[in-house]
Amino acid sequence: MGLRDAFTSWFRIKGRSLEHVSFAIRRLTGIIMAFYLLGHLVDITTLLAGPEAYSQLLNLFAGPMGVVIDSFLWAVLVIHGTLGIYSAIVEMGFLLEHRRKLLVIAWICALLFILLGVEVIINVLR
Amino acid sequence: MERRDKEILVIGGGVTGAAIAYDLALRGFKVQVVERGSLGAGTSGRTHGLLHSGCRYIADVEVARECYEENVILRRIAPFLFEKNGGLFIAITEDDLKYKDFFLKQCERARIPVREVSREEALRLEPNLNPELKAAVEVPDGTFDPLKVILSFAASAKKYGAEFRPYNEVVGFRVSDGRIVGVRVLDKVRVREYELTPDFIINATGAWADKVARLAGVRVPVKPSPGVMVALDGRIGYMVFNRLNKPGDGDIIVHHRGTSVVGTTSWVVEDPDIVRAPQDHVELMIKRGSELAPIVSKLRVKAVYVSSRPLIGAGAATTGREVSRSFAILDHSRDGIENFASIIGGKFTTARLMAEKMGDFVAERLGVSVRSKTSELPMSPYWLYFE
Amino acid sequence: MRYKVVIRRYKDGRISFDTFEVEANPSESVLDVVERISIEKDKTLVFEHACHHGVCGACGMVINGVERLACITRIGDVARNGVVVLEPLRGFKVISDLAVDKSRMFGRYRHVAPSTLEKLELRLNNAVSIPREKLYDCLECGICYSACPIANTFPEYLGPSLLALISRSGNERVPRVVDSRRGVWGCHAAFECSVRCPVNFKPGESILKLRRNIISGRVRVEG
Repeated sequence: MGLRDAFTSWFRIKGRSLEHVSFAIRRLTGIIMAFYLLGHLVDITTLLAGPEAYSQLLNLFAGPMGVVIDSFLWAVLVIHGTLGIYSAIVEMGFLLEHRRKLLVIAWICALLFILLGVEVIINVLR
Repeated sequence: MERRDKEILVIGGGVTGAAIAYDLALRGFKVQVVERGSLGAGTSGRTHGLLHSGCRYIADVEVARECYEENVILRRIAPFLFEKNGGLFIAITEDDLKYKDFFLKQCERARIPVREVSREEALRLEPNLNPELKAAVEVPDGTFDPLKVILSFAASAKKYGAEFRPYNEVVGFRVSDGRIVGVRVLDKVRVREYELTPDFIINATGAWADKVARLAGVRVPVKPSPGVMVALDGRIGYMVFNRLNKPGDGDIIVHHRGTSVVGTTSWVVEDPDIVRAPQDHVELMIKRGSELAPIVSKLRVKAVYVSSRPLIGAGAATTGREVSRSFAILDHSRDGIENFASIIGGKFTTARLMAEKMGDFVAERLGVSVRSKTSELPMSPYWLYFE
Repeated sequence: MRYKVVIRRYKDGRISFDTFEVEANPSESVLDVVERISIEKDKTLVFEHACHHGVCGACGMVINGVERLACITRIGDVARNGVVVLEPLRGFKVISDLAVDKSRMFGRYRHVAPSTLEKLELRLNNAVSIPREKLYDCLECGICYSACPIANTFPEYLGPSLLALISRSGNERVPRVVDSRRGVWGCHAAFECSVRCPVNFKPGESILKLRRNIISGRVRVEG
């Protein structure tokens, strides 16, 4: 399997159904989170270089840029989570006839959680 | 038993070509099949999908009997290919009803097991039949997916060493001293021409037999006779619906997988490559089909297709060697080419028998005495063709 | 109507796109138009076809970006501004032009030897029922393999239609390979197979039902 095959099949959007697009987004958010985890490890590792270096790095994320990045990460997490719950249900062979409805519900939940999270990020955590 | 030194080229990868390849490979010959398109891309792929009980040709007891015997053999050697639900011949008009006694008598003469069923029973068996029906006879028809049958013959042939070359079209012959010494083939995959030098060449191209034979300077009296078929978007029964009368337009409905197909018409053309379905034929199919089953007119038409039968034209009886009433093997040594023969006529259902007779002919011609075994051995399933 | 038919050609390792201008009735099938091109314009055009009425599964191809059976697709329904782009199915090795090597699908059958006929019963009344048999609706056209993101990237996967045939056959035992990553556990519920299936065979649902039946022990794994 080449990277090209993965891109042209997993992430094909043109002419694809909601189910397939959701599958693609689930995979994509999973990959983003994996990279984030790596990045996070790097950012914790800066502690070894002393507390000053760590604070300096953290300050980078304290401004408005931080809100955008935090919101984005939160959205990725929520989408991966809700689509994951949807896929766990259908992949166990439940509600197969109602998967479309279930998927739409998953997306609505995702949007609500994202909005809620962004609200918290902006108003509570700052 | 090894006859691998004799190379035979079969032109045409329809059901006849695939069955001939199987028959000859089983006899130990080295066989190659060339087909200009994919397997089944000509007439046989586009058949109705009816495993004939023979009753449709009951006016000719001999032909009917031949069909029935092949039907029984195919059910035995490849049960997985056929929907074995039988068929019903139904009378709707007084004229149909008059045909019934003759029909039953002929079936008895042909020793085809049929059973008259009451109107009520027929409608219970097949609720979509015309409730106006006046009589019904159950016959041992069956149905199939044409491509899978062709591929199963091909898979069986491959098992015994036959080689299939689809997308390879014969474009010419090199004839010298009354023999074909070279066959020029266009490989459409690599786009190059090459030459094969088989010991014997069989022209199994059906409706295209004359077009191919002319490349070698001989003629085949085949009459390409197209028929229109209309596939419905939905399946309306299990048993094949036939009109209890002489074969005519739109008098049969065959069901397979998720579809029912109404057929058919018949006319004659010069070139089987240039055929389109006339719109009035489609309307006729729907009209006549609704007489058998009124629901036909309510369903959407999924596809309309045309298939050219390789009917035997005038002249075959005098130039050909008639091995059967329904098909003919033409020995071109009579036309001055000693290692070339054509086979025309026949039906999808009798392809195995056609192949057996062709095998006998070739074996005799090449001085080999080994009989056909295709009726005894189980066939390979189609998926093995792809290994 | 005049149509521009753009066909992805593949000859001897080289890819190109050829455009053919054809006169066709909008109700004609894409397959009939392709066949006419092969007879009148370019006899080296390679494509697979047989039954021309949606039963044999030979003519699956990608038409304007979407997998379809060319024989039951009317050209007028899919053309965009009079243009139709034809490409071979994805996920298979291309033989030439629109024809693909389906051994990626049929070559897996020997591991499971699926049944080809569905056994049904026609109840005449309470006492009498008659056995009926039917070839599965599945045409084995390969469209679901082309649509499936897993089949495209995991060549060992048995594939949607084959697993669906096993699921539909209702056997109480299945070979070990079915209960593995190559079998039901390979599916990740993208459901594109079910959406694209030309006969609504629902491979996605069938695979996941089989998975549930294996987990619950209703279907036993052997070997």
